[in-house]
Amino acid sequence: MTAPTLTTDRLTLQAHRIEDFPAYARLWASDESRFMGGPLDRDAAWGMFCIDVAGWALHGFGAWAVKRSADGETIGQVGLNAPPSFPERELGWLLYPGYRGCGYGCEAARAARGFAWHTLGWTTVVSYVDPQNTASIRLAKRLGAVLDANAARPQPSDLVFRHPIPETPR
Amino acid sequence: MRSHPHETPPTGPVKALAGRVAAQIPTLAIEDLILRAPRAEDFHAYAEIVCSDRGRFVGGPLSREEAWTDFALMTATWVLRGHGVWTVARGGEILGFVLVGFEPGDQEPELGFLFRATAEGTGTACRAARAARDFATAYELPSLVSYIDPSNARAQTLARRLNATRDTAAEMALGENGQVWRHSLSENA
Repeated sequence: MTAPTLTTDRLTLQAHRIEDFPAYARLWASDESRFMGGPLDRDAAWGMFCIDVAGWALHGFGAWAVKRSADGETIGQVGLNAPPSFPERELGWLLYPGYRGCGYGCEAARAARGFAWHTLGWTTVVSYVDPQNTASIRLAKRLGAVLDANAARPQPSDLVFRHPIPETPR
Repeated sequence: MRSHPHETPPTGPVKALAGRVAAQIPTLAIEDLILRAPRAEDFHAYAEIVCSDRGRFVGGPLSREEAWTDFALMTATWVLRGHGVWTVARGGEILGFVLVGFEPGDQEPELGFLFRATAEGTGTACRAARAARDFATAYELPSLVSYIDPSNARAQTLARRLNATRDTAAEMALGENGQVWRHSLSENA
């Protein structure tokens, strides 16, 4: 039982395996996770990881490990998320140190969003971003998402980027 | 207690995908009982147990959010480890949950059981737990224990009926006020 594998020009999005957890836990333990509600200790990070994974069985959507196809390195995660604290379904991403600034986040997020539009039939999705997380704000804008001032949000200070309505697939 | 949006069962195309994913989880049929993959709509029964006074032996009563994380932890191990939680049902009625789990704090795989009040005293938990233990045996898990609260007499009785025995060395190593009951994983247990 796995998330469906998606491929892009440079990336492979595939189901998380337990071997993907250490890098995930490292990111959540670091100060960089402050924009996502961290830092989290290892057990709390395991809970997040499990919510991301279990979504596929419970909801039919969840997160993917993002691998660089050329060398198989796990470079981050992209996910369609519905944890308890989110008012609506979210497209989220995180990239591990050393893999940023290469457009990987945009590439992975587009693939996940395409899956939401064309396979799952969603008609809207948001991304919640900390106002100080300039890299994610930039990425949300590159994805064509725009601020939705009226949407409910997990934290009062969160920005809500709403993604453009999908084009009809040709 | 009000349910949260994320607990709503999927509809449309994604419902079928969830079904295909869940179909990979083995179903065990024991006479009138069925142990099957957990579904989003089973969560209300899980929350009823752990968010109530019945949850006091498993760290509860839990908030509904904590219960969801728990439910996800037990479900996710199917993907991550090849074992996890089953919903135990008879016909359309959910009786409870049994799991071969491995969660934060556990030192080894755990046989766990959580049942609704209506299933008490019927032998249901024992039969379901035995099936889960047999699954662990068939898949050659290295070991299997039940972590049991010292004041949970009902669970201790069940562990005894399953021929599990207290492992005091493991209890010492755990360093908490909990009992560790070790199950035999031989074919004829």
